[in-house]
Amino acid sequence: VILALLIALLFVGGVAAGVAGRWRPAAARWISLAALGADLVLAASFLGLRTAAGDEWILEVSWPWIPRFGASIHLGLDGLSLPLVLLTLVLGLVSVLVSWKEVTRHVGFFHFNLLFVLAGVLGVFLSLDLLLFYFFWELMLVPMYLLIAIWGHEGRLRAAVQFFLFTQASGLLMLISILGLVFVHAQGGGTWTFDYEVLLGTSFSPTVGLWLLLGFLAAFAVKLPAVPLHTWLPDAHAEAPTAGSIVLAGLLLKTGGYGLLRLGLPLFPDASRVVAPVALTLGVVGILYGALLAFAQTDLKRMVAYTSVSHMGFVLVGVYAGTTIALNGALFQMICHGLSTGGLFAVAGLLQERLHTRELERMGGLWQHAPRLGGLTLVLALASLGLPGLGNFVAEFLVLFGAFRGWPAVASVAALGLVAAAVYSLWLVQRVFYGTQSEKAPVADVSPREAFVLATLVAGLLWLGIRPQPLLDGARPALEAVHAPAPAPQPSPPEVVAR
Amino acid sequence: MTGADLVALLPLLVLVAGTLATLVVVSVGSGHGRAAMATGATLVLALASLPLAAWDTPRSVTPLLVVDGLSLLFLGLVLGASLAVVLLAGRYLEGRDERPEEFDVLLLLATVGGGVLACSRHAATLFLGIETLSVGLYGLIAYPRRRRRPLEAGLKYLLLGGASSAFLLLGVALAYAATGRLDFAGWGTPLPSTAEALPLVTGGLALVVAGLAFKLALVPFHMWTGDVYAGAPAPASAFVASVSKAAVAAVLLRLSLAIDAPARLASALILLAVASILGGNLLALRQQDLKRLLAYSSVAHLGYLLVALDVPGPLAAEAVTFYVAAYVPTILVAFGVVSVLSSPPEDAQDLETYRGLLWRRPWLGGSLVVSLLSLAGIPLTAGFIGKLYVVAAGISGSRWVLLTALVVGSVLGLYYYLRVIVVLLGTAEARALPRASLAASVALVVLVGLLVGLGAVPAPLQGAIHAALQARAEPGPRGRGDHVRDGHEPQARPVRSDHDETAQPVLPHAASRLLHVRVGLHGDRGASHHLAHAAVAPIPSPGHEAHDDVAVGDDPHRPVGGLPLDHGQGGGVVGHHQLGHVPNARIRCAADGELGHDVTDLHASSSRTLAAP
Repeated sequence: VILALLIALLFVGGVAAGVAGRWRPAAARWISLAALGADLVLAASFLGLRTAAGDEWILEVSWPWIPRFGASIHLGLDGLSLPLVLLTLVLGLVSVLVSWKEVTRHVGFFHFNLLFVLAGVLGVFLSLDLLLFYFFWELMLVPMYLLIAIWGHEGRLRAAVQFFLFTQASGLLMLISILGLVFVHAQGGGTWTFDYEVLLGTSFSPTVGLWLLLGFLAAFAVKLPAVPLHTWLPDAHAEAPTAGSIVLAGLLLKTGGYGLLRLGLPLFPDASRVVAPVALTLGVVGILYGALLAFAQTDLKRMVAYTSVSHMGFVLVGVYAGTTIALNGALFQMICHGLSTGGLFAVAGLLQERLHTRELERMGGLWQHAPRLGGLTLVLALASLGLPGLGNFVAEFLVLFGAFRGWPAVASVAALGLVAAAVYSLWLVQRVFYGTQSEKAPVADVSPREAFVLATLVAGLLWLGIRPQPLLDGARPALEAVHAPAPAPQPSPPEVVAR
Repeated sequence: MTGADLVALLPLLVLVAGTLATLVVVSVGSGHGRAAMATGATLVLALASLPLAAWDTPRSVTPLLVVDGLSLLFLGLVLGASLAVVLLAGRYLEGRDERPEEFDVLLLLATVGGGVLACSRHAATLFLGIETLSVGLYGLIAYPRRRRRPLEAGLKYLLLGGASSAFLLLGVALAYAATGRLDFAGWGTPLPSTAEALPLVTGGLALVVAGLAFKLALVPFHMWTGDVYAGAPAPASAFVASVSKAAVAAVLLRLSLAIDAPARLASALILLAVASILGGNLLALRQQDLKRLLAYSSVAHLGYLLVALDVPGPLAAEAVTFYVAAYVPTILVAFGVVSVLSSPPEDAQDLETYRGLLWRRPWLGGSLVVSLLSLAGIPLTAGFIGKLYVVAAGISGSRWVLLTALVVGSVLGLYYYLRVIVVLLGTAEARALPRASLAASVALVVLVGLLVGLGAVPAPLQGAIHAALQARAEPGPRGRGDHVRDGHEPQARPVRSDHDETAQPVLPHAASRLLHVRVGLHGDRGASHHLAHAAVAPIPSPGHEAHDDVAVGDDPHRPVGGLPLDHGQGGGVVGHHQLGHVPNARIRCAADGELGHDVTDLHASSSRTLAAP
């Protein structure tokens, strides 16, 4: 019940903020803050919970929803989803805080959309019913589209439409795959059901499995993004408002990775093995290509966007490397990338607020005016390049280490990405904070609110870098289950006795 | 005709009486307000009589009409949609210089036609219903007779409507020539001289479907749709898009179930569906006229509907019904907003009129956005569940071509729905817009609530549809005829229903044939502990050896498809069985089960299709 409350709180908060915003903008901000804060406290209280022996889920709830299809409101929380839930709520708070001054038009509607996106993301991380999963998956797109299209920058409409078309089209393929899976399951003697745990035991021919997996992959690869399908990302990230970029990079991309971990691998273990070489290649290409393009950017947000492509390549490699260590790395990378990139986008937003530009050419020499901003940015950039002691290092190390055993060539080439990351990250800091001062008047340093936001993210990265073990321990049972899926329940013979 | 028959026909009778009463009110000349009131009251009364009519159903009232769950459901849809149009049209009509009372009479007349179609099971009522509907529509569309565009639209609809009626009549004639029957069920069972009659029947049915496709504006019969939607007054467009589509879809569904269209007209249906999905979406892609855009989008949506119609099995009928039930409120909201914002003589149809609507009129703009999202099939709207049904039906029938078209079409559709939403989000220039009347606001709020409600909790409507399909008077193409309630309580006893037929010779290159086995179980809801298995066993006919890959033998209990039937509300199960190269094998379908307290009928039937290569 608490899990449903987690999501419902955001929906209610969103509606309340939307209504209150018409009356007084500040109220919308405080309501959003309160809803997210309460949710965070609630979610943090789950940290103490541990699964009982033999129980896969820390918390689980199931209600009937559409009995005709065998779909239910089935939510579950385990070591894999808990960190992502926490990340969602932290970045949600960050998004509200960075928009405090930036968003001035239609404030209520903005927070309505923001909270609905976050509710959708939470729903994706918690759903154990495939129809519900798809429902939330699609649900987060419309408000995200509106966030970009209404509050974005100059090229926002084009970027928003592109984002929406890419994700919707691939989502539809996933829907077909979901229904195909359900139908195959029903033909195998079962009944119509969308329940994740029941469908885990579905057996099908390799060809069918491959086609079904491809449908899922289409959706996840667009979100992740994997390289040939990444073209929507730089536009969407660059044109979105700061909060939108943070949510996009920090959370929406993670839903793709989460989908691979939760659905892609466990549902289709055999087919996943078949596509692994291709996926790994795409991952490595993404790492290098993203880094390469990051160099070429003159727009701060576009540059950070391309580094996301590069970092998410590590996630793809981690997922398909075939070892539990690499899976751990992939999860870790998702969390750390969420924090570090979220932070960098927040910095970009702060700079844009002050300088009214995202052009790197027109920045420079800001350190003397804003040393605290510079310092915090430096830490975030160092995290992004994978400095030991910060979370991203642990993540990338685990991915490479895990991949090296089975795929030494892949790991070796991917490691080059680390070198590239070092170069572009330092270059970023150098161009913005050092060098000759731009023509702009003195720039204000961070306000306490802004400093708090960035410091929180930095603290999170530090903590993950120094004490990664609790997160890894928590996620281990779930991740081990990914590779050794529970023995398939025997397909039940047609029920003879009526219910 | 008995008293019970009259009760079952009550909604239609109320409707006809109300039409006449409204005619009297109008001829007395007491102004539009009263006429609208009479119209609304008629529709409300007819709606209120639906539960009464459902009291003793299913029943056939004369061979012409049938009142069962399905017809009551569609009747409710038609009446509700008409009522919504009346409510939404109020202020639009009052703004006219001409006498608006006629609009109400014509609307009721067209609704009568729609109601008849919803109950039709016979060629006569099919034709009468279509013509009554169309005659009403000609008037509705061309009714502002001093304006050029509505007149043009009305004339186009009249000419093409006439052509479609000709198609329909010719088709009916051919089917009659071949089968000697005029009821839909009769067309489903060819006469013994199958070989000669079959092409005639198929041709006739194809023509009938073509006639209906005109009304549904399926490509290539869609030519009128853009001009008519754009030219007609906005409330009339709303009526064409909702009531007329729902009524024709109802009769098409019933026809398709009776004649087993997926088996007999598969390629034609696939062609129509793919052409409509792609054609409609492509035509809508660059439209700058909102009414025209909605017109072409409706072409595409009817194409999606055909995807479900082309699949055999119980899921298809359910999918079609739900899709229509979701589509009607959706399109009503869209045209409702157009009606509210239109002030004669010019309708608000240029997209630019809507720039920034979301900020200028948050509720109206929001309604339009919800409607567009529902058209695009985004979750939390009824359109999503509708699309889910269609995709599920397509997958269950392995219609990959159609599914591909559906995906491509959906992405195209998304693009132009987004274009409209982008315009709604634009920066507004202050310009006076008409206000919505109270009635229109109420109607819009209810409809939008319906869209979101159905999207979040579809189970009640699904339950209603499921029950309605169970309570159908004609179970299947080769069922045991009409199921009529016979009053006595059957004891729990095992029954066996066999159905034999001789398979057609195999085509030389057909690798396999699919045999669809239907089992129907009829009874009251809540009946418990019943079970039926469908089984099929090819029996080698004398002089022919059955070949390898079919398990031939005397094991009729081998379950097919493994779909058990439980509960009295079950029924219509389809199993598939692959037939190999068995020349002239006799097929026997058997259904085993137990008849209990409330279950009245158990039957098995089969139909053949050639499996897709």
